[in-house]
Amino acid sequence: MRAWVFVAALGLALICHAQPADKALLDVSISGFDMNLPDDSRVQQAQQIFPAVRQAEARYLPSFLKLTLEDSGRWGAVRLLPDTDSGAEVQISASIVQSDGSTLVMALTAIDATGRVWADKTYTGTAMESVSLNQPVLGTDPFLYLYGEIADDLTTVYDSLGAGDIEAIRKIATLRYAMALAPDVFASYLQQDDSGLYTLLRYPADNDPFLQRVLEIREHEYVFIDVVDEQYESFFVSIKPVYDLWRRYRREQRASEADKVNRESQDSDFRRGSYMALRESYNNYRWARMQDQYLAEINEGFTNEVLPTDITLEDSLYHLSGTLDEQYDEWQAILKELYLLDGPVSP
Amino acid sequence: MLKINTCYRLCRTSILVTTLLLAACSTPETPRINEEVAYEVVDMSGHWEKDYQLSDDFETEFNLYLYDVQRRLNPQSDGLNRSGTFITGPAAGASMEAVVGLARFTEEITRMPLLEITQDRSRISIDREEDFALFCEFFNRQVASTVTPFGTEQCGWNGEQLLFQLNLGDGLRILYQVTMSGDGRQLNITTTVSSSQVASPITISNYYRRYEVPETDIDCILTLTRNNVCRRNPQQVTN
Repeated sequence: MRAWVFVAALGLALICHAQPADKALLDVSISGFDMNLPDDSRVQQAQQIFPAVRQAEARYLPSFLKLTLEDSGRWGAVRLLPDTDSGAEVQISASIVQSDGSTLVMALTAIDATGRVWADKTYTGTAMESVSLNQPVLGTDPFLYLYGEIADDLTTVYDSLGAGDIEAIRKIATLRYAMALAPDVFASYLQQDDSGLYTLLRYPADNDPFLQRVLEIREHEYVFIDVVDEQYESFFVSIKPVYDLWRRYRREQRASEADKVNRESQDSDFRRGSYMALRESYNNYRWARMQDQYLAEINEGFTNEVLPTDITLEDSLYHLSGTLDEQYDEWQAILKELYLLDGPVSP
Repeated sequence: MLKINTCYRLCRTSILVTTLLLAACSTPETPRINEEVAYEVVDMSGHWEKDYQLSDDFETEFNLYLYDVQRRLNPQSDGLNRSGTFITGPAAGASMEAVVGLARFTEEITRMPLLEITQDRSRISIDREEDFALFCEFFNRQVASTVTPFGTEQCGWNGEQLLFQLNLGDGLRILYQVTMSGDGRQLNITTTVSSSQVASPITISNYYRRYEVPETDIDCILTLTRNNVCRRNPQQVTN
């Protein structure tokens, strides 16, 4: 359901891209965005940054980017992770420079496994006022076009690469993941130059037991990533109405601020200082504070969403607890331990 | 006890009247929030219920307030006509609506029958029924500010007193002064509300006493997909 709504919103432009048959699709890993939250609360105040909202945005924005990339049909699996993915074919990271409901500025980098930079750009957008926030639809967003711009930039780079380049990216991604697990075994397959670019020196045979083991571990990691992904999606679905409400209130406030001078010189609905005027003033503030607190509550709910996560792996049940970030770190450690303890399996 | 309370209430009422009279001559001094607090803050956490006996009776305070305002609007009058009712004629002018409005509004926001306060070393949240929580993050013991398009809020400690200062639209200002008694059994919230349309602020003092909620062996946390997830606390079960 989500998909078709989104596709409709994106329009035919994205659908009509044809996928060349000779080139494999690349998987994309998106890490949670950097909140870029100033430590000093007074600076936050000065810049009108609401920590609870920014924290939610750090998960909402990459979720929407993920939707955009998925629905473009130009990519393989698009995964959202709490941290960077050591085996990413294309890794997207971003920092929220500004987000106040009317303007969105994101400093985004996209780098493939070889170290090639696909994008290192600051994306700036102004909210489309025509997008209604009164009855928010999951696949729409006032900054929809900005996500489309990112998707287009990535697609342009992808289209410029040949099938051989794509194949190299995929192989290097696998080897870099393998190197993270067992550097001694796999370091000799890759060379990294001074600028950080990786070159494939050689590649293990398809039935190489060491490589097979790595691929098995990688598959296990995907199981966990799927669990994480579900939680991100659940958060996205839950937070979107609240976030849209917040943006609506910001939008209305901006409109009212623009009219402030006029309103002050004209008769307001209520006489200044009257009970109704005081009540209206207080209720506006109360509403804003309650929204803020509700958003914080939702965000806390996400943090508490530890489930806890149970994953069956190698006939053992692993029980993970803690926040998503902690679970992810814990899971990485388990996988590494598994590789080191069990050693390669026979092909 | 009743005598003490009566005396106490009368004294406080006298102080209030004196304060209001003084307010006519000078600008009311707002308690200052300390930029830095050099000592541990008091722990106000717990459940609190309003002590109606000690708290201001709004009607009494309102009448005193009106009397004072009336006196200042019409210095020649003692504020009362022969029948003992307030003068509400042209002498009072259009501001009478603002005075009554401010009082009515103050009564509404100072009801707060129950409070739940949660606190740790760097933040405090005073949850009120059907209203937003007064929340203060005093990390590094600095004054914290909250800016919304509808108003700003500052909070911090003035000694052992917690202050919240709200500056809202239409010239509305609300100051909450939260003080806990030395023995930790009583809490006072003094609320001062002022409006740009009324010369005198109105102050209401409410007292609270602790009450215990029944202990439960169930711990709940909020999650998104499953709302509240509750589990038995093994320690409680053992005990």
